[in-house]
Amino acid sequence: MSETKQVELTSKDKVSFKVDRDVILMSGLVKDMLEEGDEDETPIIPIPNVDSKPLQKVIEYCQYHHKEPAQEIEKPLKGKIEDVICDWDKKFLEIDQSLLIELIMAANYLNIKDLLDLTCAKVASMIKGKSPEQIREMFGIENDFTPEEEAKIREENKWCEEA
Amino acid sequence: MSQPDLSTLPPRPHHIKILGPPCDCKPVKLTVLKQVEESTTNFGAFYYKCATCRYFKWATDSGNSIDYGDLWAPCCLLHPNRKCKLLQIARNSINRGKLFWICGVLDTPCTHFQLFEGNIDDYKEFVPNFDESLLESQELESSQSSQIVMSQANSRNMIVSQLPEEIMAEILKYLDMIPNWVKIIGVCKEWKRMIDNVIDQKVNDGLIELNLGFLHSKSPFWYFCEIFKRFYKVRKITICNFELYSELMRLLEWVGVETLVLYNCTTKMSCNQKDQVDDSDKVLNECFSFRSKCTEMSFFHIHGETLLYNFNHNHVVPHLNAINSDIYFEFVKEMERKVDITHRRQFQELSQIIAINCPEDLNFVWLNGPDARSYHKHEQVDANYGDLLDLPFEQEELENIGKCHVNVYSLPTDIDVGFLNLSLLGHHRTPKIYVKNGKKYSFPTVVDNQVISHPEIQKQFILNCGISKYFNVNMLEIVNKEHFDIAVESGIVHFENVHKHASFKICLEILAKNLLEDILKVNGNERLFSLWKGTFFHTFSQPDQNRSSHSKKMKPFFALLILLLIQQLVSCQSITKQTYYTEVNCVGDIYTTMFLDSGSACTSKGSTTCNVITISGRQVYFTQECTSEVPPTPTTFTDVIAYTYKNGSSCNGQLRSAQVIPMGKCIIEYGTTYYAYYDATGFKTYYYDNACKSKMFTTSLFLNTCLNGCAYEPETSIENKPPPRKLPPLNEPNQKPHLSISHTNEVVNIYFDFNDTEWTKHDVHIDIDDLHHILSISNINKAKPSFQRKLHLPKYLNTKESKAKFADGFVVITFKKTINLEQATPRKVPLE
Repeated sequence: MSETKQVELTSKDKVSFKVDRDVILMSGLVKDMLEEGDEDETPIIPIPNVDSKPLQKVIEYCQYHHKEPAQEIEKPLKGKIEDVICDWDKKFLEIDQSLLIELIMAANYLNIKDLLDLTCAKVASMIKGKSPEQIREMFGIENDFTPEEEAKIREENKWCEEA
Repeated sequence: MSQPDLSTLPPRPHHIKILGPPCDCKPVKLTVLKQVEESTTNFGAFYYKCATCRYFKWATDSGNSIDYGDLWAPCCLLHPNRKCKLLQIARNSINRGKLFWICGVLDTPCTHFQLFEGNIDDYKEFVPNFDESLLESQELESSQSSQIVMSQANSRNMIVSQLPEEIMAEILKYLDMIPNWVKIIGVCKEWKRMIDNVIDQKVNDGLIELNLGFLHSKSPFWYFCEIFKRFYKVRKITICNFELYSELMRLLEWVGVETLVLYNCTTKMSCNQKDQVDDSDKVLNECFSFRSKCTEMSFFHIHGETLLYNFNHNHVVPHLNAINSDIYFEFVKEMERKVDITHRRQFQELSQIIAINCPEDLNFVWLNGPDARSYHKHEQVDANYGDLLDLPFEQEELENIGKCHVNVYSLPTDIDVGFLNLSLLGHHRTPKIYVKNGKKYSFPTVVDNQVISHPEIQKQFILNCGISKYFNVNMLEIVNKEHFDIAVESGIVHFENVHKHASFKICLEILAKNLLEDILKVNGNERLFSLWKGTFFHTFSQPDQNRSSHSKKMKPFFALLILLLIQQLVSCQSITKQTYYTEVNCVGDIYTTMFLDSGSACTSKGSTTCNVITISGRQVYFTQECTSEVPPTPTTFTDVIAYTYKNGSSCNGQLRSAQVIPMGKCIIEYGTTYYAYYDATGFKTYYYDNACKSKMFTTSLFLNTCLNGCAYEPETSIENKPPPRKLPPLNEPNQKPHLSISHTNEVVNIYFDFNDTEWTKHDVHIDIDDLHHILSISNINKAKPSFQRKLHLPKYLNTKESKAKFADGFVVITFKKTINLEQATPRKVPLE
């Protein structure tokens, strides 16, 4: 057993990635699948829910973090997320929003807890301290409340504007 | 202008300020409802008037007030005397077919809107535009798509449409529930739906802990009504810097609060009832003057309407003047729907009140209902403070912390409420808490103040009670380095962002003074020291003309200072190759020995760097000629019994490094034949035999020891097993076994030492309460001295996976650590 075993992942858009088995075992989903399946030379695992772009990011994350387990991120965040994560993670998170969301989905689907935590915390950090208007603007969300509904929500939650 | 119709308007409560339509002023103000008091033909009539402009309007109604019979109907805030009108939403929207309330006064700018909740069949006759078919279509729609409701644009937006609720819940975990979660409800419909669900789930689980520190005393009463309507089951509530009043308690009694944390709060009764008292009645007068400074809490059957303070009196709390009792009744109505009140008592779940740094006016009257056959007891109750501390603390210790417990017995069912009064971070005021029961206000119970001096417990209380963010920096009394460390670690004091009144100056002064003293005293360069000290204090005692520019100026100065300190530290090492060995000038037999510079104190090669350090005002000297592998043995220092190290140990003969924490001060319990060694992280004391070769026994924290100069040694470096312990003797009949705790990454081991007793495993009974995280250990062999120890375990220990064994005279109980139980459960993945 000199060669490290490899696994081939196929993304939704049919792009294949060869990854070391040890690396991708960070994914709970892949781990379960590998345990069930036969010991092929290079098992091919389809990841039908994840596009190649986020999948590549996921692999990148696993390649770094399978050796350097991520530190747990405090809940709730006291400051910005950048203050509590390592430099590598900071760089890793320099991505656009849509990829970030895709990454969350991918981490959830592949069951990689640390990556899910990191990406969720990133979104939380982006939301933190912002008004609904600012959040809508940031994520391009449309305000689909009727004026009545909006007024009602505002009235009910007026107290939180104190903070 | 028509004559106001008196019959429709009930007598106006005098103190309530009812707002009317906007006036002609610029900027526009709201007018106030007033009543004609002169005996004219219009006597008793109502009108709206502006205080500044000439606006005047009779408060009349163009429509008739709707009679709902026995059915309940809300009133809006502006028109508390007029029941709202019920309508159905006819236009094509998601809420089509739903009923809603609008203000009952028709020609008003009032935009009151409230969705109807209740049985439509009972109310439909009052809805003028009611259409049964709309209702059906609504039901159909809701059954078809009760889940996802969003606009088309948002359905294409990944962060709205693709985010499953579980992930939203994960994201929310990183934000404070209030106010952050609630703030983002208004982003879009789908987010609102998800966040509402997550909140409701949390509320249902009964795990909500609300920190209301962001609200201040001027926050209106209805804020609280809204908050508690939403969070109607709350386990813990924290209120900071607030003036408590009885009406607030009327709300809290519904929400099932177990722990009430009051930081820097005073109490006030909202109604001054002095006007009811005959001046000649001295006793009663005294009572009422007391009552005006206290807050009432009652422990009786919950019944919303009886105990709300009658609004007919002058309010002491000014902003309560604007309270409309309807707001409260609306709250009660809603709570009655949500909470089963058949057998509910007020504050039924309340088990502890923790008052932190509260000034002197913190008074409670605890009432036990109208029959008031109640009494108080000055006794301890079983309140679970262990939850607030993350280290295992012994029951005994906790009882020491919480010496100021008071019981309140309420008839017919008793409720025990623990009252803990704490002083943290140098706040040594002693407020008195009066607890008066029943109708007779003649027995004030004075509760003693408890000052917590232990830095670690102080820190844990500050962090776990969530008060650090709301800590009133004016109340910070930083008197030593420990206070400073706690303040920085718990986030009260920040270097980057200094509060206007922050004790930044004090902190820096202390920090720099300590550093300077340590470094310069070591070097013996007193002259340089005084020079620096002068410069330093001069800089910081400059008047703060412009704080922001001052802070900016301070940064380079501080950086320079650090540089100088480092430089001095480096030069310090080069000139310390001198020999010091002098008898210690000490008081009693307490000595502390410190070694400066890692690895160089007592190595076998004798390449020692030794210095003179001032410790607690006494000088301690060090020898350079130390050639033994162990620290100076008692033959050298016959009386020395304590060695304090950091990052290393020499006690098992394998000295690698030894380093002193600057500013050491160590008061250590001592004996004649063993050494004491303090572990700063685990708060343990190790005793060693003469040759420092074997650990004799360990004991836990709380030896009334000042741990300022604590040392650290990795647990793993103690390799020898403890030999049979001889000292100190177990001479007391019910001596408890010694306890020690060791941590690894995965488990926590708790040791009970039965070494010199001839006990077997059949004598010892161990019991674990999974629910309250309490470990108790006791002797069941009646022939032997009885003991019982109770230990509150921190929440991160999984009590369900514990093992216990009896070996080598020790009972070892091992608990697995769980970082977060919630995370440990597998997450469901939605498959598309």
